[in-house]
Amino acid sequence: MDRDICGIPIRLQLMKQYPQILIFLFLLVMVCKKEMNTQAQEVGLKIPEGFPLPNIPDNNPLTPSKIALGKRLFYDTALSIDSTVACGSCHKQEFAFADNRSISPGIEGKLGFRNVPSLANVAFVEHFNKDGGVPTLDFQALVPIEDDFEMGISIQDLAKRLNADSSYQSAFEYNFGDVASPFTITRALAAFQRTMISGKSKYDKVMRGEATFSTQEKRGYDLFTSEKANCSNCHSGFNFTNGKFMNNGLYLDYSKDTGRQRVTIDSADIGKFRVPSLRNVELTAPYMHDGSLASLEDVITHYKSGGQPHPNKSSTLRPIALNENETADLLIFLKTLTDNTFINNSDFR
Amino acid sequence: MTLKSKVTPALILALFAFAWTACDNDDDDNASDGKTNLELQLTYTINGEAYEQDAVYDIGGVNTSFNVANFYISNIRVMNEDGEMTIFEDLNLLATPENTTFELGEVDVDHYHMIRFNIGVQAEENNQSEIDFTSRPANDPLAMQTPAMHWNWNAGYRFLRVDGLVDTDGDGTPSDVLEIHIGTDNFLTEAAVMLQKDAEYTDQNIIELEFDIANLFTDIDLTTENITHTGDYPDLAIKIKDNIPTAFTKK
Repeated sequence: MDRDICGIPIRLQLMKQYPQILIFLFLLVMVCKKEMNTQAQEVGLKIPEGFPLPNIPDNNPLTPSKIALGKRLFYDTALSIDSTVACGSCHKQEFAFADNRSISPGIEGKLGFRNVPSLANVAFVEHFNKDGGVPTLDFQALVPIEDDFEMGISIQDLAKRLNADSSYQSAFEYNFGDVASPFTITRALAAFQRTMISGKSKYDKVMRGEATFSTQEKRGYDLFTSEKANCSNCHSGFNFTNGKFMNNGLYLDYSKDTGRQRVTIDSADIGKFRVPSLRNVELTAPYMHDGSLASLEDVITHYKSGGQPHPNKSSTLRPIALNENETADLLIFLKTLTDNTFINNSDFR
Repeated sequence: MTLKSKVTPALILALFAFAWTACDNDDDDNASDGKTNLELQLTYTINGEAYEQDAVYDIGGVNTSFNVANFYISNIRVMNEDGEMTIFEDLNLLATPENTTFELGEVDVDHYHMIRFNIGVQAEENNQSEIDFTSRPANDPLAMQTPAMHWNWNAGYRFLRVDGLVDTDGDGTPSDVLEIHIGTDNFLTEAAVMLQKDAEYTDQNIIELEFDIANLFTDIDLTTENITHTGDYPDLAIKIKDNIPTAFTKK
C-alpha cells in the first residue's frame, strides 16, 4: 500500500496501469472533502482559505452541543482536585489561549517546568505536548487534568465528580449517550478546542488579496522567508511550523527538561522540542519551552547568535547577521500574524 | 415372539450405548481433541518471604516497604520439548498482589519445558494508535487503572510500577519515596522460566511462578537510586529492566 485516500489504501502502481482510478480518486476526494466541510459548516467552523481540513475522528464528530459541553468543561475549575484551576486559567483567550507567565501555577501554586502553549489552530497539530508524547488531541486533556503540578485529579475521580452534577449528567448523556468518563470528558474538551481556528490576521488578509503589507512589513516578510534569516525553514506552511522536533541551541545543558528524549529515551533527542506555530506570536510571550525569553526581541537576539553549540542543535541554525533595521522589520512582520478576531471571538468565552 | 418384542430390547441397547458414549464425552470433552486449559499463578515474595503491603523488608541492606507492585504481562508463550511454541495472542494481564491468577487458554496436552513472556505491553497497544486507554471497557486490563498504569504525558503504559518508602538516612524507618515506573517500547522486557510441566487432561493445569520483588533491586543502592519514571532517570530504569528476568522463578 502506498497511499491512503479517504481511508482507502491505494497502490500507486495500480494507478499507473489504470488511469481511470485517478478520476475515481479525484471524485472520492471531492466527496470526502465535501462531507468534512459539511460537518465543519454545521457547527459553524469556517476553515480559512489556504488551510487544510482538520482531522476530525469518526468517534468524535463535532456537534454544537458537544462543543458547548467542551467549553463549559474548559472554563470549569471543578476539573482540578481543589476546584481552583480550570483549563482557561492558563490558556487565556487574550493571549491566544496561551499565558503571559513563564510557568503558570497549577493547584496550590505549584509550578511545573514548561511554558503554556497557545491553543490556536490546535486542530491541525499532529503531535501534542512540546515533546510530542501524546498522539492525538482527543485525549491530550488527560495531561493537565492528571498532572500533579497542574490540575492534579485522576480522571476517574473527575468523572465521579461530574456525574454527581445533574446538569453535567444530562449533557454527557445527550452528547455521548453515556456518563462522564475518561473518554467522554476528553472528547468534549477536544471538540471545543478544535473550534479554535485562527486565520484572520493581517498576514492572512494579505495572502488572500484583501489587504496589503506596509513597506516595512513587506521587508520583514521578505526577510522571514529569505535564506539569510532562514526563519521559514522551520516556521513554514499555513501554520508557521514544520511540526518537527528540533533543538534550537537554547542551552548547553538540558537536564532540567530533556524534551523529546523523555518520550523516546534517545540521547539524540535531548533538547528537542516541537517547533511552535508563530501565529499570534506577538501575544504569546514569554517564549521558548520554558518561557525563559521575555520578548520577541530576545528571541531574535537568540537566533541571531546562532544558539549554544549543543551536539543535537539543528544544523539549520547558524549566526544571522541582521542589523537593527532588519530586526525591526522582522518584528513588524511577526506582528501581522496577530488575529484580533480570534482573541475577541465571543464563541470562545 | 412378536416384532414388537424383538425391537424393544434392541432399541434399549442402542439407547444405552448412545447414552454411554454421550456420558463419556461429557466427562472429558477436551480429551477427544487433545486439548486442555492452562492457568498462570503468581506468588509475590520478597527475599523469598511472603509479600505483605507496607511491611518493612531489608532490600540490599536498606529498609524498604512497598504499597504498589503491579506489572503487565503480554506475549505469553509456552514451549514443548520439540521447541514448538504455543502463543497466547492478544492476552494482556495486569498482575497485582491482589490479582495473581490468570486463565491463559487452551493448549495441546503435552509436556512443556519453558514459558516465555514480556513484562510490559506490546508496541501496537502501548502507542495508543488504534485504541487508547480512555476508549477501553473498564474490565480491560489496558483500560485506565487505579493506581494508574497509564502515563498521560507520553500516552503509554507503565509496564512495571513499584511504589513504596525507603530508608535513605539510615534511621531504620522507610520515609523517603520509592517510585519505580518502567515503560516505553524500548523497555519491553522478556522473561523465561524453565517449567518441565505436563499439561494433562485435568481441570487445573497451573503454571506456578514466584515473583520476588527484591530481585528487581540487585546491585542497586536504594538510598540513592529510588526514583525513576524511565525517561528522567534512564540509568536506573535500565538496571531495573536488566533485573526483571531474574525476579521470576518456577515455584
